Amino acid sequence: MTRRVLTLSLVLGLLVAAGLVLLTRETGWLGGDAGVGWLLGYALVIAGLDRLPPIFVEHRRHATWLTPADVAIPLGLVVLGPLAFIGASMLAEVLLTVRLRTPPIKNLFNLISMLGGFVAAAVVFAAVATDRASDPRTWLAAGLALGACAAWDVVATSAVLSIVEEERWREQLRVIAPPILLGSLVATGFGLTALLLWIQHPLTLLLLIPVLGMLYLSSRSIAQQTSERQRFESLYHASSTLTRLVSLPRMLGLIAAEARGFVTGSVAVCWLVRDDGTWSGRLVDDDGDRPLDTAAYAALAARIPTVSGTPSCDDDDDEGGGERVERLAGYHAVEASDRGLRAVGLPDCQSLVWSFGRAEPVGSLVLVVLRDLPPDGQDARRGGVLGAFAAHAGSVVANVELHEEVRRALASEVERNREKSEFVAAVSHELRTPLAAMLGSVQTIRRLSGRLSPTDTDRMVQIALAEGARLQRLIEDLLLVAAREHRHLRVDATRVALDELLATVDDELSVRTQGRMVVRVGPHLGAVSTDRDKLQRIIGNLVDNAVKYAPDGPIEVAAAPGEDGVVITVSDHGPGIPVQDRQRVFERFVQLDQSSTRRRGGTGLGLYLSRELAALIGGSLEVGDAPGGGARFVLKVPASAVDAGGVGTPGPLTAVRKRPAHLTSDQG
Amino acid sequence: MTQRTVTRVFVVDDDPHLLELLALNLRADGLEVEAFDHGLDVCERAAIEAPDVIVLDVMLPDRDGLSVLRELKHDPDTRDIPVVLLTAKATDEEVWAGWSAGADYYITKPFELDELLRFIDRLGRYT
Repeated sequence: MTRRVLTLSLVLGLLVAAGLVLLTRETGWLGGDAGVGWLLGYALVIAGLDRLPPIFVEHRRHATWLTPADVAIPLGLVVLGPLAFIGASMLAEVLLTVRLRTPPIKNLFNLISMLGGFVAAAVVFAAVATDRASDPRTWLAAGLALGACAAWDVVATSAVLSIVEEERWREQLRVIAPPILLGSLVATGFGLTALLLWIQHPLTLLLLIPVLGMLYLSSRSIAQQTSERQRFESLYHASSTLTRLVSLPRMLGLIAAEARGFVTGSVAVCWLVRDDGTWSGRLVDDDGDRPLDTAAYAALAARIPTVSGTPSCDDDDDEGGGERVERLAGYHAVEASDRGLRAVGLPDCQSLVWSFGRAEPVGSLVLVVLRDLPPDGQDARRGGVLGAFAAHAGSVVANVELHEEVRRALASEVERNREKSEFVAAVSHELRTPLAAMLGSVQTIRRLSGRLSPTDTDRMVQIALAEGARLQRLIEDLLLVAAREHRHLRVDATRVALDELLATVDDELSVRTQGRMVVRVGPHLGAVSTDRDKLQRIIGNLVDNAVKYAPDGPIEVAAAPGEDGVVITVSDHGPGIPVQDRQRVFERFVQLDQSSTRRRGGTGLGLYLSRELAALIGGSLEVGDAPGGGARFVLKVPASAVDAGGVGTPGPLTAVRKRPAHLTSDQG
Repeated sequence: MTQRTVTRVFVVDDDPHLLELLALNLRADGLEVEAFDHGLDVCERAAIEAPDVIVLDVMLPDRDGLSVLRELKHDPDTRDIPVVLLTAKATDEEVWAGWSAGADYYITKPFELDELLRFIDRLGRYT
């Protein structure tokens, strides 16, 4: 074997190795690593061709160029090496029953294992070539190198990168990995050294070049993929933080967590909202989050260590950047220091170590820090930092709260607009119908002026008048509804005697009731102080309904003393109202029996108005079954009318000023 | 050109007063009127009686007027009877719904009596 051939082969091998390294640097392809390993082996073997077994050497003596055997042997060797490695690696994976993904570092370790696997095979060959096959140390070295590197590949990558999918293996691998790593490193080193010593060819040192090159490229690829993963993680972390910003308790928890990183001790964050003079809020601390009330605050304050002494009742003591709040009695707000901090007081005389707050139109953020160490010289500076942090945090929370409020107000406004347009549509429909009949009958008189009989003319006039009256009633009702909506209805309370009132109703509706109305006034029934007109309207409407829906039988109106005031019932013997419709009947324009109601000139607003008016004077109106099988309306009137103007659908401004429900409920 | 003489009219409306005055006017013009205050059997009766025009209100107590209209237009016996849709609903969607359900004419309340009667009269020259 000439030196020229040897050198040529070595260079060729190195070139291909370099080429393969370049090819696979982006993909980290296992096959590329294998290729590199194979070519290394090839180069290695070429270098050791001088040590070919005599049988091959003999054959070669007569050749001047590379013979097929020159190629076949090294190829055979480079196949053996990796195969041995792959087989061992797969065996190890199977034995340890771990499933591996393919992380970037695996490429590096692949190479090392590849090398180790190949080293083992090369050791064997070299041993054979140098008549050391019978030496047990040869086989020991080979076996060690092979096994250790296969184990390295599986165990080291798994443990280092925690890519084992089965949770139970992760902990175990973390424990057994280091010794195995060490062992495999030693074995590989041993094998490589042995090989170098045996072959003793200077050019074998060149093998280090592709190895180092691969190491470098692999580590670069690892670094890239690691940073990529880190970017993903930080993005995920950012998005989960952003999600927390939408929910108030979670945001408060975030603020507490951040502050906690700065101080030694406990941190609690309170978000307080003042509504109609009372404070309510949310408290977030180590124990979680809950509505802020006396009990919660007391529990928080109870954790103050005795470092600051027994709870004292001194006034606030401003120290540097923070405020040492030592006495809090009743709700009070301490005027801010020149840094714009404001501490909000909570009931009970307790002491706090530190409290930093920021007041906003929307609410106040109070950062409560309970230190478990004695005060030191750094407290003032610490206070300053925490104060600034609390100020910023308060702004953020206020912004989010405002946004929430606006969103809610908008949603309720949209809903109200929808309701309004529905109402307008219903009203326009209701108004057109009697108008059509009224105009139609008058038009009839005009166009058939000559041909209409007196009876028919009379009938048309009657219809026109009836529909006109219906229209009038409808408009009246609508105006009442509108007035109610806009809170323009007042309660004019006077002394009303029930027996007299009911007699009036009976009298006024006698044409319609045709004497069917029966009045029963309980004994010892006193007078009530209420709005006479409205009460009369309600009772009149109920009686009118009874007339419409119960064509036969008496209509019983009874008044008896109730819990507070009077209970008036109107019962009929009609078909009654089914259970499922008992709330529906009180809605606007709902008429259970459309045609018959129309026939009797109903507006569809009667019960709705009656209930609203009842609420206005402080009472209530419900419906149930009458003993006689019909419907029974129960009207409760308090002894003295309460102007319950607050009842009814609130306007949009009211919706905004209302205390947000989530502050008082336990929902997030 | 066949002339179709209008002799019989169906009037369907849940408002009894309107029903009454429509019937009165149509009868005064010499037409035979059958009045309904419900929609349930209008189609059935129309198939038997074969009216020349049907005046139909959209709001009926027992079933939707538009469904009656659709039924009328679906049934081969009643398909060719012109239908005048009468209603207090006047929004664009409802008018469109009426037209697309197959109404031949659409009048909103309150209406000019003359307009309705003129239309019915014009049907007398229908080809």
